[in-house]
Amino acid sequence: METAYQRSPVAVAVGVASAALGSPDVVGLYDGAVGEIATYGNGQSVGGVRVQTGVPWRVAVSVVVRYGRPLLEIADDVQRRVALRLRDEPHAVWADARVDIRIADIVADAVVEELA
Amino acid sequence: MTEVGSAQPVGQTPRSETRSRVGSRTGSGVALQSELGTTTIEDSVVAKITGLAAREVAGVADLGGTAAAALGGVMGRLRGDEHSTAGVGVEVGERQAAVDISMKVEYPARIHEVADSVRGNVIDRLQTLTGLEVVEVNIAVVDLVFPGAEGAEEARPEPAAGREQRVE
Repeated sequence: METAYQRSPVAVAVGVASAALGSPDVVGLYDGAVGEIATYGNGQSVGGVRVQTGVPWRVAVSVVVRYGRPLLEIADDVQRRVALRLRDEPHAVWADARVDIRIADIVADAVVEELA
Repeated sequence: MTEVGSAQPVGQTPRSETRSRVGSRTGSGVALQSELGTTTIEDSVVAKITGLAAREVAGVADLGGTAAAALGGVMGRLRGDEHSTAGVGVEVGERQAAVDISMKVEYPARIHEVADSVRGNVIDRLQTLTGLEVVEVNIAVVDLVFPGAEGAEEARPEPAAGREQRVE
């Protein structure tokens, strides 16, 4: 039985979100047209991150990126950052979790400045 | 896929076939597998890059116009720049993309040169940023914009539509 994870999915999702946002070309996370892409937990939800516990263990991150660098390089960077973060999870199953990246939107620098 | 000239009415979408131009596809967007997981690029992102790349070219006054409603299969959806995919239609396969652009050109720019520059820049940006091979860029110049006229002019559209170019 896969009941042994020690932290709630939302706790894992918080770490995943901050790892993804650490990538310099990630402007934000995209939580879907009506907020359907999210992980829900006790008293909070994390938009743009889906966490699946159990086989296969995986996380999916929807990102909004800056227009400029090749998207696949950005995605690789996000993927690496998230995978590294998952290795720090106390429960070892996360170390091998799959990390799916979805580039949901792209914004030009002018728009980024407006948002800031 | 080698139609020449423009038998079709001006202002209409240059997309002429209903069959796929870009091979098979599996889901929405480009998907790439790595050892860590899958990367997906949404079609709307491809459309947005197309729009940004077209606007980068001097002489392009605006995207969209009379054919925009017919073209815009994928609309931008958020963050106040929802018009950035107006006038852009994309068809994305696993490895290839075909795009349709309808745009207005500033008078007196040389329309065919502007169109060629747009085509080149779109191909370049899409291939660099998404890794997609661009097999078709169809451009419809639907209007001319005169300096200071604020788009009030109903200029004769130049039928650049139908000039298809395959990039292998």
